[in-house]
Amino acid sequence: MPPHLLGLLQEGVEVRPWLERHLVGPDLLAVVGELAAVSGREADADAGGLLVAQRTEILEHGLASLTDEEVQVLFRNPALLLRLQEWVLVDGGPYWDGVLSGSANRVLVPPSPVPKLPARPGLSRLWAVASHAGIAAMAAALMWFLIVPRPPTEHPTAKEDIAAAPPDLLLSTLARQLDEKLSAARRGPDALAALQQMHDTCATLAAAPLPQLSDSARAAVRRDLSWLQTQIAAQRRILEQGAEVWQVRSTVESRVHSLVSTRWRDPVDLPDATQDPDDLPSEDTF
Amino acid sequence: MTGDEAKQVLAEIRPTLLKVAGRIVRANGLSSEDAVQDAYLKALRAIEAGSFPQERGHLLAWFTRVVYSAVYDALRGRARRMARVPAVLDREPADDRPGPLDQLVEWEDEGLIRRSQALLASCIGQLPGEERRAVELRFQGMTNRQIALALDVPLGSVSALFRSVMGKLRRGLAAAGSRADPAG
Repeated sequence: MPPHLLGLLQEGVEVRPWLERHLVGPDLLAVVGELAAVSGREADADAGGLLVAQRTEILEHGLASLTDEEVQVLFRNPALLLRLQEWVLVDGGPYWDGVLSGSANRVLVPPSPVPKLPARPGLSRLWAVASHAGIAAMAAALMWFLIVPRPPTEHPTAKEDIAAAPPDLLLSTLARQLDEKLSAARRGPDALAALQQMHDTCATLAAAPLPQLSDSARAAVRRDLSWLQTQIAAQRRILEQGAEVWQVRSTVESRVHSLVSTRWRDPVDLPDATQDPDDLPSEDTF
Repeated sequence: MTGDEAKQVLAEIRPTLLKVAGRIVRANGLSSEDAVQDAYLKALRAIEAGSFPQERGHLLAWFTRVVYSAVYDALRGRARRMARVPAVLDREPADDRPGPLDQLVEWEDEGLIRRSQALLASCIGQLPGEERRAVELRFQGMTNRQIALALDVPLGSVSALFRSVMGKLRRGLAAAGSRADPAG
Protein backbone atom coordinates (compact mmCIF):
# COMPACT_ATOMS: atom_id res chain seq x y z
CA MET A 1 0.00 0.00 0.00
CA PRO A 2 1.41 3.43 -0.89
CA PRO A 3 2.11 5.72 2.05
CA HIS A 4 -0.94 7.59 3.26
CA LEU A 5 1.00 10.84 3.27
CA LEU A 6 1.09 10.84 -0.52
CA GLY A 7 -2.60 11.72 -0.33
CA LEU A 8 -1.56 15.11 1.00
CA LEU A 9 0.30 15.86 -2.22
CA GLN A 10 -2.70 15.33 -4.45
CA GLU A 11 -4.24 18.33 -6.12
CA GLY A 12 -7.10 19.93 -4.21
CA VAL A 13 -6.50 18.06 -0.96
CA GLU A 14 -6.72 20.37 2.02
CA VAL A 15 -4.87 19.73 5.22
CA ARG A 16 -7.64 19.94 7.79
CA PRO A 17 -10.25 17.72 6.07
CA TRP A 18 -7.52 15.21 5.23
CA LEU A 19 -6.41 15.04 8.83
CA GLU A 20 -9.96 14.89 10.16
CA ARG A 21 -10.76 11.93 7.91
CA HIS A 22 -7.74 10.08 9.20
CA LEU A 23 -8.56 10.93 12.79
CA VAL A 24 -11.78 8.93 12.52
CA GLY A 25 -10.59 6.42 9.95
CA PRO A 26 -8.85 3.06 10.13
CA ASP A 27 -5.35 4.17 9.19
CA LEU A 28 -4.40 6.75 11.77
CA LEU A 29 -1.71 4.58 13.29
CA ALA A 30 0.00 4.27 9.91
CA VAL A 31 -0.31 8.01 9.30
CA VAL A 32 1.22 8.75 12.69
CA GLY A 33 4.10 6.41 11.94
CA GLU A 34 4.73 8.00 8.56
CA LEU A 35 4.64 11.51 9.98
CA ALA A 36 7.06 10.53 12.71
CA ALA A 37 9.39 8.94 10.15
CA VAL A 38 9.49 11.91 7.80
CA SER A 39 9.61 14.51 10.55
CA GLY A 40 12.60 13.02 12.34
CA ARG A 41 12.47 15.56 15.13
CA GLU A 42 11.73 15.51 18.82
CA ALA A 43 8.23 16.30 20.03
CA ASP A 44 7.54 19.82 21.26
CA ALA A 45 7.54 19.76 25.03
CA ASP A 46 4.38 21.81 25.45
CA ALA A 47 2.45 20.51 22.44
CA GLY A 48 -0.03 18.60 24.60
CA GLY A 49 -1.17 21.83 26.18
CA LEU A 50 -2.51 22.99 22.83
CA LEU A 51 -4.96 20.13 22.68
CA VAL A 52 -6.15 20.56 26.23
CA ALA A 53 -6.72 24.28 25.71
CA GLN A 54 -8.67 23.75 22.50
CA ARG A 55 -10.48 20.56 23.45
CA THR A 56 -14.01 21.90 23.59
CA GLU A 57 -13.66 23.84 20.37
CA ILE A 58 -12.19 20.89 18.51
CA LEU A 59 -14.91 18.56 19.72
CA GLU A 60 -17.62 20.97 18.60
CA HIS A 61 -16.21 22.47 15.44
CA GLY A 62 -13.41 20.22 14.28
CA LEU A 63 -9.95 21.31 13.28
CA ALA A 64 -11.30 24.51 11.76
CA SER A 65 -11.15 25.87 15.28
CA LEU A 66 -7.35 25.62 15.20
CA THR A 67 -5.09 28.18 13.58
CA ASP A 68 -2.76 27.09 10.80
CA GLU A 69 0.12 27.13 13.25
CA GLU A 70 -1.78 24.94 15.69
CA VAL A 71 -2.55 22.44 12.95
CA GLN A 72 1.15 22.34 12.15
CA VAL A 73 1.88 21.56 15.79
CA LEU A 74 -0.24 18.42 15.35
CA PHE A 75 1.72 17.41 12.27
CA ARG A 76 5.02 17.96 14.03
CA ASN A 77 3.83 16.01 17.06
CA PRO A 78 1.92 13.11 15.50
CA ALA A 79 1.59 11.21 18.77
CA LEU A 80 -0.94 13.86 19.76
CA LEU A 81 -3.19 12.63 16.98
CA LEU A 82 -3.75 9.36 18.83
CA ARG A 83 -4.98 11.27 21.85
CA LEU A 84 -7.12 13.45 19.66
CA GLN A 85 -8.62 10.41 18.00
CA GLU A 86 -9.88 9.10 21.32
CA TRP A 87 -11.40 12.46 22.15
CA VAL A 88 -13.26 12.93 18.92
CA LEU A 89 -14.50 9.35 18.73
CA VAL A 90 -15.65 9.27 22.33
CA ASP A 91 -16.80 12.85 22.95
CA GLY A 92 -16.89 14.58 19.59
CA GLY A 93 -20.08 16.43 18.75
CA PRO A 94 -22.33 16.22 15.68
CA TYR A 95 -19.60 17.76 13.55
CA TRP A 96 -17.54 14.60 13.97
CA ASP A 97 -20.54 12.43 13.15
CA GLY A 98 -20.51 14.12 9.77
CA VAL A 99 -16.80 13.47 9.34
CA LEU A 100 -17.32 9.86 10.35
CA SER A 101 -20.11 9.35 7.86
CA GLY A 102 -18.08 10.89 5.08
CA SER A 103 -15.06 8.84 6.01
CA ALA A 104 -17.12 5.68 6.21
CA ASN A 105 -18.59 6.29 2.78
CA ARG A 106 -15.13 6.62 1.34
CA VAL A 107 -13.61 3.65 3.07
CA LEU A 108 -16.39 1.16 3.37
CA VAL A 109 -17.81 0.70 -0.07
CA PRO A 110 -19.44 -2.73 -0.20
CA PRO A 111 -18.03 -4.84 -3.03
CA SER A 112 -21.36 -5.04 -4.78
CA PRO A 113 -24.43 -2.85 -4.74
CA VAL A 114 -27.11 -3.88 -2.29
CA PRO A 115 -29.92 -5.37 -4.35
CA LYS A 116 -33.56 -4.49 -3.99
CA LEU A 117 -35.49 -6.18 -1.24
CA PRO A 118 -37.17 -9.38 -2.32
CA ALA A 119 -40.86 -9.12 -3.02
CA ARG A 120 -42.00 -11.81 -0.60
CA PRO A 121 -43.85 -10.04 2.18
CA GLY A 122 -42.60 -12.25 4.97
CA LEU A 123 -39.01 -11.77 4.02
CA SER A 124 -39.43 -8.07 3.48
CA ARG A 125 -40.74 -7.80 6.98
CA LEU A 126 -37.79 -9.69 8.39
CA TRP A 127 -35.26 -7.70 6.44
CA ALA A 128 -36.98 -4.54 7.54
CA VAL A 129 -36.49 -5.71 11.10
CA ALA A 130 -32.88 -6.42 10.28
CA SER A 131 -32.24 -3.04 8.78
CA HIS A 132 -33.87 -1.18 11.63
CA ALA A 133 -32.85 -3.24 14.59
CA GLY A 134 -29.88 -5.12 13.28
CA ILE A 135 -29.07 -8.64 12.35
CA ALA A 136 -29.00 -9.57 16.00
CA ALA A 137 -32.66 -8.74 16.39
CA MET A 138 -33.48 -10.72 13.32
CA ALA A 139 -31.45 -13.64 14.51
CA ALA A 140 -33.13 -13.48 17.87
CA ALA A 141 -36.49 -13.47 16.17
CA LEU A 142 -35.57 -16.49 14.14
CA MET A 143 -34.39 -18.36 17.17
CA TRP A 144 -37.58 -17.49 18.96
CA PHE A 145 -39.58 -18.93 16.11
CA LEU A 146 -37.44 -22.01 16.06
CA ILE A 147 -37.41 -23.04 19.67
CA VAL A 148 -40.60 -21.59 21.12
CA PRO A 149 -43.75 -23.60 20.38
CA ARG A 150 -46.28 -21.27 18.76
CA PRO A 151 -49.97 -21.55 17.88
CA PRO A 152 -50.35 -22.17 14.16
CA THR A 153 -52.45 -19.05 13.64
CA GLU A 154 -49.84 -16.72 15.03
CA HIS A 155 -47.34 -15.22 12.64
CA PRO A 156 -48.49 -17.15 9.59
CA THR A 157 -45.43 -16.09 7.63
CA ALA A 158 -42.95 -17.25 10.22
CA LYS A 159 -42.40 -20.67 8.70
CA GLU A 160 -41.84 -19.17 5.30
CA ASP A 161 -39.39 -16.71 6.80
CA ILE A 162 -37.42 -19.42 8.49
CA ALA A 163 -37.39 -21.45 5.30
CA ALA A 164 -35.31 -18.75 3.68
CA ALA A 165 -33.12 -17.95 6.63
CA PRO A 166 -29.40 -18.42 6.11
CA PRO A 167 -28.04 -21.03 8.47
CA ASP A 168 -25.39 -18.65 9.71
CA LEU A 169 -28.10 -16.77 11.56
CA LEU A 170 -28.73 -19.80 13.70
CA LEU A 171 -25.12 -19.74 14.74
CA SER A 172 -25.10 -15.98 15.19
CA THR A 173 -27.99 -16.32 17.54
CA LEU A 174 -26.31 -19.04 19.51
CA ALA A 175 -23.13 -17.01 19.69
CA ARG A 176 -25.03 -14.00 20.87
CA GLN A 177 -26.95 -15.85 23.51
CA LEU A 178 -23.78 -17.48 24.72
CA ASP A 179 -22.06 -14.13 24.93
CA GLU A 180 -24.93 -12.57 26.82
CA LYS A 181 -25.11 -15.39 29.30
CA LEU A 182 -21.38 -15.52 29.84
CA SER A 183 -21.13 -11.76 30.14
CA ALA A 184 -23.73 -11.87 32.89
CA ALA A 185 -21.89 -14.66 34.69
CA ARG A 186 -19.58 -13.09 37.24
CA ARG A 187 -18.83 -16.22 39.24
CA GLY A 188 -17.65 -19.66 38.26
CA PRO A 189 -20.90 -21.48 39.05
CA ASP A 190 -22.90 -19.00 36.94
CA ALA A 191 -20.53 -19.44 34.03
CA LEU A 192 -20.68 -23.21 34.40
CA ALA A 193 -24.46 -23.06 34.30
CA ALA A 194 -24.41 -20.79 31.26
CA LEU A 195 -22.05 -23.08 29.41
CA GLN A 196 -24.13 -26.11 30.28
CA GLN A 197 -27.27 -24.38 29.09
CA MET A 198 -25.72 -23.47 25.78
CA HIS A 199 -24.32 -26.96 25.43
CA ASP A 200 -27.82 -28.32 25.84
CA THR A 201 -29.25 -25.77 23.40
CA CYS A 202 -26.75 -26.90 20.79
CA ALA A 203 -27.80 -30.48 21.35
CA THR A 204 -31.48 -29.60 21.08
CA LEU A 205 -30.95 -27.66 17.87
CA ALA A 206 -28.80 -30.39 16.37
CA ALA A 207 -31.53 -32.92 17.04
CA ALA A 208 -34.26 -30.69 15.60
CA PRO A 209 -35.51 -31.52 12.08
CA LEU A 210 -34.46 -28.06 10.74
CA PRO A 211 -36.75 -28.43 7.74
CA GLN A 212 -35.79 -25.02 6.45
CA LEU A 213 -32.37 -26.27 5.42
CA SER A 214 -31.30 -28.33 2.48
CA ASP A 215 -29.71 -31.69 3.23
CA SER A 216 -26.18 -30.43 2.79
CA ALA A 217 -26.81 -27.25 4.77
CA ARG A 218 -28.50 -29.21 7.54
CA ALA A 219 -25.56 -31.57 7.76
CA ALA A 220 -23.13 -28.68 7.90
CA VAL A 221 -25.09 -26.86 10.57
CA ARG A 222 -25.28 -30.03 12.66
CA ARG A 223 -21.58 -30.47 12.26
CA ASP A 224 -21.03 -26.88 13.41
CA LEU A 225 -23.31 -27.41 16.37
CA SER A 226 -21.46 -30.57 17.29
CA TRP A 227 -18.14 -28.70 17.07
CA LEU A 228 -19.57 -25.96 19.24
CA GLN A 229 -20.76 -28.49 21.82
CA THR A 230 -17.29 -29.96 22.00
CA GLN A 231 -15.71 -26.54 22.51
CA ILE A 232 -18.18 -25.54 25.19
CA ALA A 233 -17.69 -28.84 27.01
CA ALA A 234 -13.92 -28.37 26.91
CA GLN A 235 -14.17 -24.87 28.37
CA ARG A 236 -16.52 -26.15 31.02
CA ARG A 237 -13.85 -28.63 32.08
CA ILE A 238 -11.22 -25.91 32.10
CA LEU A 239 -13.44 -23.74 34.25
CA GLU A 240 -14.03 -26.60 36.65
CA GLN A 241 -10.28 -26.97 36.96
CA GLY A 242 -10.02 -23.43 38.31
CA ALA A 243 -9.60 -21.14 35.29
CA GLU A 244 -10.86 -17.58 35.59
CA VAL A 245 -14.30 -16.82 34.20
CA TRP A 246 -12.97 -14.02 31.99
CA GLN A 247 -10.40 -16.33 30.47
CA VAL A 248 -12.99 -18.92 29.60
CA ARG A 249 -15.35 -16.28 28.31
CA SER A 250 -12.70 -14.78 26.13
CA THR A 251 -11.74 -18.14 24.67
CA VAL A 252 -15.31 -19.23 24.06
CA GLU A 253 -16.17 -15.91 22.47
CA SER A 254 -13.17 -16.12 20.25
CA ARG A 255 -13.84 -19.68 19.12
CA VAL A 256 -17.53 -19.14 18.58
CA HIS A 257 -16.88 -15.98 16.72
CA SER A 258 -14.44 -17.66 14.38
CA LEU A 259 -17.10 -20.21 13.56
CA VAL A 260 -19.75 -17.56 13.00
CA SER A 261 -17.35 -15.49 10.93
CA THR A 262 -16.67 -18.47 8.74
CA ARG A 263 -20.35 -18.84 8.07
CA TRP A 264 -20.82 -15.12 7.56
CA ARG A 265 -18.00 -15.02 5.10
CA ASP A 266 -19.45 -17.83 3.15
CA PRO A 267 -23.01 -18.58 4.16
CA VAL A 268 -23.88 -20.44 0.98
CA ASP A 269 -20.98 -22.67 0.17
CA LEU A 270 -21.26 -24.73 3.26
CA PRO A 271 -18.67 -27.45 3.59
CA ASP A 272 -19.57 -31.02 3.12
CA ALA A 273 -20.32 -32.60 6.45
CA THR A 274 -17.57 -35.15 6.00
CA GLN A 275 -14.89 -32.60 5.19
CA ASP A 276 -12.75 -30.50 7.45
CA PRO A 277 -12.80 -27.01 6.01
CA ASP A 278 -9.47 -25.32 6.38
CA ASP A 279 -10.93 -22.14 7.72
CA LEU A 280 -12.93 -23.74 10.46
CA PRO A 281 -11.11 -23.80 13.76
CA SER A 282 -10.00 -27.24 14.71
CA GLU A 283 -10.08 -28.94 18.06
CA ASP A 284 -6.28 -28.78 18.11
CA THR A 285 -6.30 -25.02 18.23
CA PHE A 286 -8.60 -24.89 21.17
CA MET B 1 3.48 -6.35 25.38
CA THR B 2 2.31 -9.94 25.51
CA GLY B 3 -1.06 -11.11 24.27
CA ASP B 4 -2.32 -11.46 27.83
CA GLU B 5 -1.19 -7.92 28.63
CA ALA B 6 -2.90 -6.62 25.50
CA LYS B 7 -6.11 -8.41 26.49
CA GLN B 8 -5.82 -6.94 29.94
CA VAL B 9 -5.46 -3.44 28.51
CA LEU B 10 -8.42 -4.06 26.23
CA ALA B 11 -10.47 -5.13 29.23
CA GLU B 12 -9.42 -2.04 31.17
CA ILE B 13 -10.41 0.37 28.43
CA ARG B 14 -13.40 -1.64 27.26
CA PRO B 15 -15.97 1.13 27.97
CA THR B 16 -14.01 3.51 25.77
CA LEU B 17 -13.59 0.89 23.08
CA LEU B 18 -17.29 0.15 23.04
CA LYS B 19 -18.11 3.84 22.71
CA VAL B 20 -15.70 4.24 19.83
CA ALA B 21 -16.94 1.12 18.11
CA GLY B 22 -20.58 2.09 18.59
CA ARG B 23 -19.97 5.43 17.00
CA ILE B 24 -18.21 4.05 13.93
CA VAL B 25 -20.78 1.31 13.55
CA ARG B 26 -23.71 3.72 13.72
CA ALA B 27 -22.02 6.04 11.23
CA ASN B 28 -22.13 3.13 8.82
CA GLY B 29 -25.83 2.57 9.26
CA LEU B 30 -25.51 -0.61 11.26
CA SER B 31 -27.13 -1.51 14.51
CA SER B 32 -24.44 -0.96 17.05
CA GLU B 33 -24.69 -3.79 19.55
CA ASP B 34 -24.00 -6.72 17.31
CA ALA B 35 -21.26 -5.16 15.22
CA VAL B 36 -19.58 -3.71 18.29
CA GLN B 37 -19.48 -7.12 19.85
CA ASP B 38 -18.12 -8.56 16.62
CA ALA B 39 -15.37 -5.98 16.61
CA TYR B 40 -14.42 -6.68 20.18
CA LEU B 41 -14.28 -10.41 19.56
CA LYS B 42 -12.31 -9.84 16.40
CA ALA B 43 -9.77 -7.86 18.38
CA LEU B 44 -9.46 -10.65 20.93
CA ARG B 45 -8.95 -13.15 18.16
CA ALA B 46 -6.29 -11.03 16.55
CA ILE B 47 -4.48 -10.72 19.86
CA GLU B 48 -4.60 -14.48 20.31
CA ALA B 49 -3.09 -14.80 16.86
CA GLY B 50 -0.31 -12.43 17.91
CA SER B 51 -1.45 -9.76 15.47
CA PHE B 52 -1.54 -6.52 17.45
CA PRO B 53 0.61 -3.45 18.05
CA GLN B 54 3.20 -3.65 20.78
CA GLU B 55 2.69 -0.21 22.27
CA ARG B 56 -0.11 0.24 24.74
CA GLY B 57 -0.81 3.74 23.41
CA HIS B 58 -1.48 2.31 19.96
CA LEU B 59 -4.17 -0.12 20.98
CA LEU B 60 -7.11 2.23 20.58
CA ALA B 61 -6.09 3.29 17.08
CA TRP B 62 -5.55 -0.36 16.19
CA PHE B 63 -8.94 -1.25 17.63
CA THR B 64 -10.49 1.46 15.47
CA ARG B 65 -9.03 -0.36 12.51
CA VAL B 66 -10.53 -3.60 13.74
CA VAL B 67 -13.93 -1.94 14.06
CA TYR B 68 -13.78 -0.81 10.45
CA SER B 69 -12.90 -4.31 9.44
CA ALA B 70 -15.85 -5.72 11.39
CA VAL B 71 -18.16 -3.11 9.90
CA TYR B 72 -16.94 -3.99 6.46
CA ASP B 73 -17.57 -7.67 7.11
CA ALA B 74 -21.08 -6.88 8.29
CA LEU B 75 -21.89 -4.69 5.30
CA ARG B 76 -20.53 -7.22 2.87
CA GLY B 77 -22.33 -10.05 4.61
CA ARG B 78 -25.57 -8.11 4.55
CA ALA B 79 -25.22 -7.32 0.87
CA ARG B 80 -24.51 -10.91 0.04
CA ARG B 81 -27.31 -12.30 2.15
CA MET B 82 -29.82 -9.84 0.77
CA ALA B 83 -28.81 -10.83 -2.71
CA ARG B 84 -29.46 -14.43 -1.88
CA VAL B 85 -32.53 -14.34 0.26
CA PRO B 86 -34.91 -15.66 -2.39
CA ALA B 87 -32.86 -18.81 -2.79
CA VAL B 88 -30.44 -18.56 0.01
CA LEU B 89 -29.41 -22.15 -0.01
CA ASP B 90 -29.02 -22.45 -3.76
CA ARG B 91 -25.49 -22.52 -4.98
CA GLU B 92 -24.61 -19.32 -6.74
CA PRO B 93 -21.29 -18.08 -8.00
CA ALA B 94 -19.58 -16.65 -4.95
CA ASP B 95 -17.89 -13.30 -5.09
CA ASP B 96 -14.75 -14.20 -3.25
CA ARG B 97 -12.67 -11.28 -4.40
CA PRO B 98 -10.87 -9.93 -1.38
CA GLY B 99 -12.25 -6.61 -0.26
CA PRO B 100 -10.05 -3.61 0.47
CA LEU B 101 -10.27 -4.13 4.18
CA ASP B 102 -9.95 -7.90 4.26
CA GLN B 103 -6.52 -7.78 5.79
CA LEU B 104 -7.27 -4.85 8.02
CA VAL B 105 -7.02 -6.67 11.29
CA GLU B 106 -3.74 -8.29 10.49
CA TRP B 107 -0.98 -6.35 12.03
CA GLU B 108 2.18 -6.48 10.03
CA ASP B 109 5.49 -7.03 11.63
CA GLU B 110 6.33 -3.69 13.21
CA GLY B 111 9.89 -3.89 11.97
CA LEU B 112 8.56 -4.06 8.42
CA ILE B 113 6.29 -1.10 9.00
CA ARG B 114 9.16 0.97 10.35
CA ARG B 115 11.36 -0.02 7.44
CA SER B 116 8.73 1.07 4.92
CA GLN B 117 8.28 4.35 6.76
CA ALA B 118 12.03 4.87 6.80
CA LEU B 119 12.01 4.12 3.09
CA LEU B 120 9.54 6.93 2.51
CA ALA B 121 11.75 9.30 4.49
CA SER B 122 14.75 8.15 2.47
CA CYS B 123 12.97 8.70 -0.86
CA ILE B 124 11.98 12.19 0.24
CA GLY B 125 15.58 12.85 1.22
CA GLN B 126 16.68 12.03 -2.32
CA LEU B 127 14.41 14.60 -3.96
CA PRO B 128 15.95 17.73 -5.45
CA GLY B 129 16.18 20.69 -3.07
CA GLU B 130 13.02 22.65 -3.81
CA GLU B 131 10.84 19.59 -4.19
CA ARG B 132 12.16 18.11 -0.97
CA ARG B 133 11.55 21.34 0.91
CA ALA B 134 8.02 21.62 -0.46
CA VAL B 135 7.20 18.08 0.61
CA GLU B 136 8.68 18.58 4.06
CA LEU B 137 6.59 21.69 4.56
CA ARG B 138 3.48 19.93 3.33
CA PHE B 139 4.06 17.08 5.75
CA GLN B 140 4.34 19.65 8.49
CA GLY B 141 0.77 20.61 7.74
CA MET B 142 1.32 23.71 5.63
CA THR B 143 -1.16 24.77 2.99
CA ASN B 144 -0.05 25.24 -0.61
CA ARG B 145 -0.31 28.99 -0.18
CA GLN B 146 2.00 28.93 2.85
CA ILE B 147 4.44 26.72 1.00
CA ALA B 148 4.42 29.08 -1.98
CA LEU B 149 5.21 31.96 0.35
CA ALA B 150 7.93 30.05 2.16
CA LEU B 151 9.62 28.98 -1.09
CA ASP B 152 8.89 32.26 -2.84
CA VAL B 153 7.30 30.58 -5.83
CA PRO B 154 3.90 31.14 -7.50
CA LEU B 155 1.01 29.18 -5.97
CA GLY B 156 0.52 27.19 -9.17
CA SER B 157 4.11 26.01 -9.03
CA VAL B 158 3.48 24.21 -5.75
CA SER B 159 0.86 21.97 -7.37
CA ALA B 160 3.21 21.30 -10.27
CA LEU B 161 5.99 20.45 -7.83
CA PHE B 162 3.78 17.97 -6.04
CA ARG B 163 2.73 16.30 -9.29
CA SER B 164 6.36 15.78 -10.13
CA VAL B 165 7.15 14.61 -6.60
CA MET B 166 4.31 12.08 -6.54
CA GLY B 167 5.65 10.36 -9.63
CA LYS B 168 9.19 10.30 -8.28
CA LEU B 169 8.15 8.99 -4.88
CA ARG B 170 5.97 6.28 -6.36
CA ARG B 171 8.73 5.14 -8.67
CA GLY B 172 11.31 5.33 -5.89
CA LEU B 173 9.18 3.35 -3.47
CA ALA B 174 8.34 0.74 -6.09
CA ALA B 175 11.99 0.34 -7.06
CA ALA B 176 13.08 0.06 -3.44
CA GLY B 177 10.27 -2.43 -2.80
CA SER B 178 11.30 -4.64 -5.70
CA ARG B 179 14.95 -4.50 -4.60
CA ALA B 180 13.91 -5.59 -1.12
CA ASP B 181 11.68 -8.37 -2.44
CA PRO B 182 12.92 -9.59 -5.82
CA ALA B 183 10.35 -12.40 -5.88
CA GLY B 184 7.45 -10.10 -5.23
